[in-house]
Amino acid sequence: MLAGRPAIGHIGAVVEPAITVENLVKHYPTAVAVDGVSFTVRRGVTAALLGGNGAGKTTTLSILLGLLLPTAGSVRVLGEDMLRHRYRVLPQMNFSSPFVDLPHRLTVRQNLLIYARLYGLPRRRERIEELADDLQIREFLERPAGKLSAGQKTRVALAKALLNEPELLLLDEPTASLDPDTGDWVRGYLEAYRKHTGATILMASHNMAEVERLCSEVMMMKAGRIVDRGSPQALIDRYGRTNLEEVFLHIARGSLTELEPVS
Amino acid sequence: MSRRGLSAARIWAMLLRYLYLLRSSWPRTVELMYWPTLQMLIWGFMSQFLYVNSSYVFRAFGVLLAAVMLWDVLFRGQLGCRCRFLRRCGRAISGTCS
Repeated sequence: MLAGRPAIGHIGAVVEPAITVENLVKHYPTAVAVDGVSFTVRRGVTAALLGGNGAGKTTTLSILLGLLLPTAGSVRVLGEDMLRHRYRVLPQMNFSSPFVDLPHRLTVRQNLLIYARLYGLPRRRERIEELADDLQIREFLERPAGKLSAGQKTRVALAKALLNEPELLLLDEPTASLDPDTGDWVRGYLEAYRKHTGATILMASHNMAEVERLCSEVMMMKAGRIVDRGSPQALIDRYGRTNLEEVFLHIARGSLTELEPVS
Repeated sequence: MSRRGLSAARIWAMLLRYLYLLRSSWPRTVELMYWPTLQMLIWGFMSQFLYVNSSYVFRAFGVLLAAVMLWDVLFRGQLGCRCRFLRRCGRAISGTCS
């Protein structure tokens, strides 16, 4: 199913986490989007930032990508200080979101070629061919990006994000607005990509079933703070619930005074 | 994304984006050339007419008119570029365009 980089073994190796965030704060003139967030994500795992709208998930992802500067705090990505050496890290990471459209009038192939050039890839056409097969987008490679369905757009966005075979993949609601079949296919593909390449995936999501299936680490956010964390099963057990959605609802509807942020 | 600083490959990639766009839409290409071409023609014919058929005062007026039209061509050109650039920046900031 997957072509490209061979599997990476980490057994016995002591390596720095893929992401280390310490006391991250982001203030806007009228709001505090992120309020002293600290977390680490180990290499080779899939982790999730969960929380309601406005919890600070997308802001945190934007800071990790270097699109936003934090008001305070430190961010280390793949062993580098993201705020000082962003350009050393960016070639090893990528981002995909269904809310960021590719230029509508260009064909899928043209879009991918432009991004491949922007990323400085040496084997552009071969890589696009590989991804066209892997992600089953070959049949609409010559179609304008604006004329694709939501599921096709998601697969193309994923192809764009995997062009440079990232070691760290950041995803913002990767299966939002997809039908169950396409959503399941995307989840399966992400799982296979992580296992095959040893990449780290950090996603922001509202889909609890997706998080339960894919993620080994979950950070629950509320009002810009991490209020709890752990594996999906550990969180379910801790709150005495039957699934992660119930845990999410409990946290989302609970008052902040009951939920002290975890450090 | 590959290196910090100026990169010919990345600049070419951005040029390619607009070349693909122009190639896929002939009305866009025609629109790009139509008004500047029309203005240059009017400018040339008007200047020629005034230069040949007018007194010294009207010739001066012709030069002034020519200058104004040249200024307008340049003004429209830079306005178009600036608007497109600012619109792109706005979309990038608001996250509606990659």
